[in-house]
Amino acid sequence: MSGHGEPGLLEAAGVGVCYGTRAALDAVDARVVPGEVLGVIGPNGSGKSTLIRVLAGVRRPSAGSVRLDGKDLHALPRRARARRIALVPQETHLAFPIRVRDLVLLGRAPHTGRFGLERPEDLRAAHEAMVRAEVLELAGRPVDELSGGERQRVVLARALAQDAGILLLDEPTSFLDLRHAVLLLDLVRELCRARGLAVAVVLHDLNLAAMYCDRLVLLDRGRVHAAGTPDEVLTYRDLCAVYGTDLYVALNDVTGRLVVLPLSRQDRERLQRSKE
Amino acid sequence: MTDERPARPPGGAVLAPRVTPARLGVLHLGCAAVLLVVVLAALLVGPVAVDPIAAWRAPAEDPAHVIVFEARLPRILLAATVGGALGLAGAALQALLSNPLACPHVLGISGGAALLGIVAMIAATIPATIPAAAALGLDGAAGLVVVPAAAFAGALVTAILVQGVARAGGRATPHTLLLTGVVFNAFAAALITFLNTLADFYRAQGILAWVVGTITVRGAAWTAVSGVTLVAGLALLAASARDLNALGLGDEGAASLGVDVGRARRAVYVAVALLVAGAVPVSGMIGFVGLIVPHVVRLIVGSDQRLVLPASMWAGAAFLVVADSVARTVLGTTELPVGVVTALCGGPFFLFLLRRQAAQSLGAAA
Repeated sequence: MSGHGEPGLLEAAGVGVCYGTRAALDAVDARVVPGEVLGVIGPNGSGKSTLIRVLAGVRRPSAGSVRLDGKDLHALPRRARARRIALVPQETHLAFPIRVRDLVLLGRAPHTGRFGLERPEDLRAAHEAMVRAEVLELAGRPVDELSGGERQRVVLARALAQDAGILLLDEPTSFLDLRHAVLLLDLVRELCRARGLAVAVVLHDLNLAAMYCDRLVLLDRGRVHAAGTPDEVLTYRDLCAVYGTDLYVALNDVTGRLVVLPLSRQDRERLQRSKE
Repeated sequence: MTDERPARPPGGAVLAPRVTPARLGVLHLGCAAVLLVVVLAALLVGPVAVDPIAAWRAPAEDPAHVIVFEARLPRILLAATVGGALGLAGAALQALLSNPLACPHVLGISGGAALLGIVAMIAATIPATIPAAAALGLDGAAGLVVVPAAAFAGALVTAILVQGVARAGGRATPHTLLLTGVVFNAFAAALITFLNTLADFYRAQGILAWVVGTITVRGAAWTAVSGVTLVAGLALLAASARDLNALGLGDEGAASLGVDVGRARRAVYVAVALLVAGAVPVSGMIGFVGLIVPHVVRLIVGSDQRLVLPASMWAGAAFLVVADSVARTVLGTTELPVGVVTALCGGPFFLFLLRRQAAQSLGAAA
């Protein structure tokens, strides 16, 4: 990209968020480090999306602090923040039909003036983002006619056009098939390695988390249950406790990565019997 | 406009900008030219056939000259400013609320403006009954300031109220917002009719026209107020177009792009209230212009608010000039309120949109 979106260290310390009386996050610490992919995992309702929103600065925590390079994130003007941190939300609803190039150009909003007139560098950044996300050939297509995989790559291109050094993704693979999920995460990790981006990604799929993340945060009902490398976090004991079901956790002989599989009731009962 | 874009090979030419100052200039000039043609055509329309060139050459006291330049032209100009304000306000509200069914009329904003405007208008006639105040010239001039100001307050308060009521107990769903607005409008219309009965002595005719919507030429000064609020509203909204584009991604999406969502919302409501305050005192509650026009405009220019907003203003102006010409002439010498014409076009259109939106949300749910 144009290269001025310098990576930064994004830290949440003791962050708490309440939805009404329910605590969505409670004393959560997380660090998004340049050149690393942080995976945020946990069961439904454990606060993964809330943590990403807090890190992105679109939700202000009721307790604790979020710091960007040591400075309070909320002391930063909104537009300056948006030039440092890009967010790929779980779903992108569009009120009106819009073409791919226009959606990607929206990523330049934090860079353009009051009237939103794009300068040559904005057009260049959007173009480069589309090349990187491999959606250039879709530029003229209406976004609502794209397949799930194409759409998610376009939304990633929008975030890349923002030219931010910190990239936050909220379940980017939840609507993607295996091939497209892997393509997207490959791309994200390449960007992280090549440009030193600081990346945090919410993942439902623990196998993808084991494959792509340098470090993981395992959330359970708004609290950090475990944090560390995939090998440290993805343990049989912790996962069974947090997800509340029996699981199969093992090393994959071929990839050397951890594999986590859920077990059906039938399988659990059979295993139980064989143990006895 | 931009249907089939040829695919560019990777590494090919960089994107062309969609909106540049030059293109915006061309858009405004082109639309102004179209409006000029519509206005000229409208000048020829009326119960009395007039040769416009003869009228132009005729002396000021000639009947043809009077008909064209003193009866038709002021009314056409007023219809243009009112239509421009309503089209622009509708486009802005649809963008802000991400709701293709929004417009100042449906959301009750016109009703709120009309209600307080009427109260101010009745109040402004009171000084005329007090000799001392009349001697100070408080009757006519005061109305010119007080009525639009009251309409502005009414519009703004309604916008905030309707949004607040619809949001109570969680997020405002598109339909609760519209329902609240429609109920509020009915309530305002009832109160206006009530005031009409009370204030019968003063100006019963004029007040009832507010409810249906009629282009009412009150004089050059009123038209000027309507024009000034239109320009101010356009300026404010042009400066909000970038934020409105980002709001198409939802509040959170816009916030992640650095948009101050609260401030953007306030700016748009103030602009809409200004536009409505300029329009309502001279036209009452004309419905459906702000609803229909942005849809047609988006079909032509796409969804980029930087283009949709100005184009909706011009298209709204042209649409209301045409609608008012129909209202003036369709029944021969008897005039129809223009609100009847716009409602007859807009009612079926609204149902069509509602049906399409319902079909889409069903499709999304399945």
